[in-house]
Amino acid sequence: MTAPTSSTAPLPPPARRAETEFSPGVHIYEPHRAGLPKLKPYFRELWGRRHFAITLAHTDMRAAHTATFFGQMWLIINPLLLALVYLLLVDVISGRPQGLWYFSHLLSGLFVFYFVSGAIIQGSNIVVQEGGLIMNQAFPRLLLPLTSVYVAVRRFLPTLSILIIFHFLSGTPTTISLVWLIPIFAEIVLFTAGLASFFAAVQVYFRDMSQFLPYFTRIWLYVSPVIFTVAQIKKKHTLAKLELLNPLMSLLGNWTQVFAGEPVCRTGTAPSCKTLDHVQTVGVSYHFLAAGLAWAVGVFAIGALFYISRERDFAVRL
Amino acid sequence: MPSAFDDDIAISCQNVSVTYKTTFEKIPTFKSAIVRLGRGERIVRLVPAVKDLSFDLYHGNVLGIIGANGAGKSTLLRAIAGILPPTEGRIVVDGKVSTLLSLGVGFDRRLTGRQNIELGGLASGLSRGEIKERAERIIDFAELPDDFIDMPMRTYSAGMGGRLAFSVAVHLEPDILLIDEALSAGDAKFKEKAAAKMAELCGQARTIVLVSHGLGAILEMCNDAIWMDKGKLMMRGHPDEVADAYTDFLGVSRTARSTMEDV
Repeated sequence: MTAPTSSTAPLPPPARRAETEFSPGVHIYEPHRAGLPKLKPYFRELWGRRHFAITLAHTDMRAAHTATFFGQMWLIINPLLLALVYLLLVDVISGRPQGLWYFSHLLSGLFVFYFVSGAIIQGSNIVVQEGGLIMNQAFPRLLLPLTSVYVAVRRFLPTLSILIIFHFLSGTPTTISLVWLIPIFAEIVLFTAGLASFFAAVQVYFRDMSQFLPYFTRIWLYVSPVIFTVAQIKKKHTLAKLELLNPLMSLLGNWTQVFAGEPVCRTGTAPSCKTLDHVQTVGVSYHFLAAGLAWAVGVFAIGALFYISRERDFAVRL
Repeated sequence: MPSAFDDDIAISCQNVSVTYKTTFEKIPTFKSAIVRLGRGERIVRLVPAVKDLSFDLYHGNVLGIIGANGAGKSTLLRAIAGILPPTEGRIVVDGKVSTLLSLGVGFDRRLTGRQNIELGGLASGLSRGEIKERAERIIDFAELPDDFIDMPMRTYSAGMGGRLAFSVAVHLEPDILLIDEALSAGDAKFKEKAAAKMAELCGQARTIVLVSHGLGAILEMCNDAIWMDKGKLMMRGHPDEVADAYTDFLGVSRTARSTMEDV
């Protein structure tokens, strides 16, 4: 073609020297297998595309029929059944039936644990799954694992209704200290985002890693304060030392303690009383809160930076 | 070098090489890594897709890239789009890039055409408002039959998918539009329409890079051409000359060229 068929108003001069590789302006692409881009514009650009991540998440949920009524129900029924299985297991092993309080404790831990493991397992697959997008669009790739975490949060929220019901059934006092659940959950989300990013990047290099992940999360569940209470774990000396290495000890421990409180027995020993007197509130543990914050910030920094340093390599590896 | 960067240059490739590192196994796994470690071997094959390629392209031009399969055309396009980093050299791109790479990919087949327009627009950095404003124009331009726009894209034919992809890419108002084989699926009428739209974009001083192994589209639409073979730049010049040299090289007769789409 030689002559343009139409001419509209001339373009404004392009802005010089773009800040990131995703925004308009002059881009310079040079060899970089690893290494970090400038983080401030990267995260600004990431924030600018948040609607993309949200739309992608809704797409994902629509595909899994999460948005339908029965889809939502399943998200509640699934961990509820699982909690029943663990309740029976603990009943059988301990040789005596556990009360409502224990079930409420178990549920609160299990639901949040399933949020963490679900986000990690989904996040580990998302880079490979959205390979088409990566091969065809330049955008901050960290959006992908964050999308998985967003989906997991959206799946977690309906289960809160069950938690609230059992909170009242178990007789745990409703006090203002329950507000602490919000910052504790925020810590858990940040921590999960870091892990999801890390595993998303690793999955590109080792495609069979997602096969190991369910076993890894299963073991992690057993050593976290879900089946056992924090007090029980602290009593078991062998586990107690190792728990310093388990981020969920502080994160999940704080959550279940604040949520479910602690039973006081008339007869027997807590937490599985023969006869329950009442449930008392356990305030937030500032020690756990600080440790949880350190874990969350540390793991997010390592996971996200590792992911960002590797993300330019993804297009070659897919 | 940036100091030598001309204001009118849209794309500048300076000694660009892109090398893929592939291992023999198709899917990298932890198992195979351990097996390799156990055998004490490390098999990595380097695939040089683009070798030491340099060219400058000024704003307002339509560059065609021709070459056989595996010549490195698509890799070069991805490098210009910022998707694949170059292994060596430097690529300078001035402006907003919109890509229309290997047909239909980047679209989510589970979603309807309309939802895909939204997702594609958001990924490229448009706001929801801007997308809503453009959606009707995109849909009008794509001219999908019946109510296909509200059907999942898995129900689309290849041609319909290609039309929609092209329509989205041109309506993102890119400064630089990269098109990879996208027009091969459209029918004659749509090809004409697409050519007119591309001419319009060029009139607005926008730049288009068109990759095709069919010479027809290149001869019709481009005013500049590059011939690549095995990752190397063989020739740069007017599309007619480049096409002649290319067909001579392939040993296809020149008369056959005009009738054969996929030379």
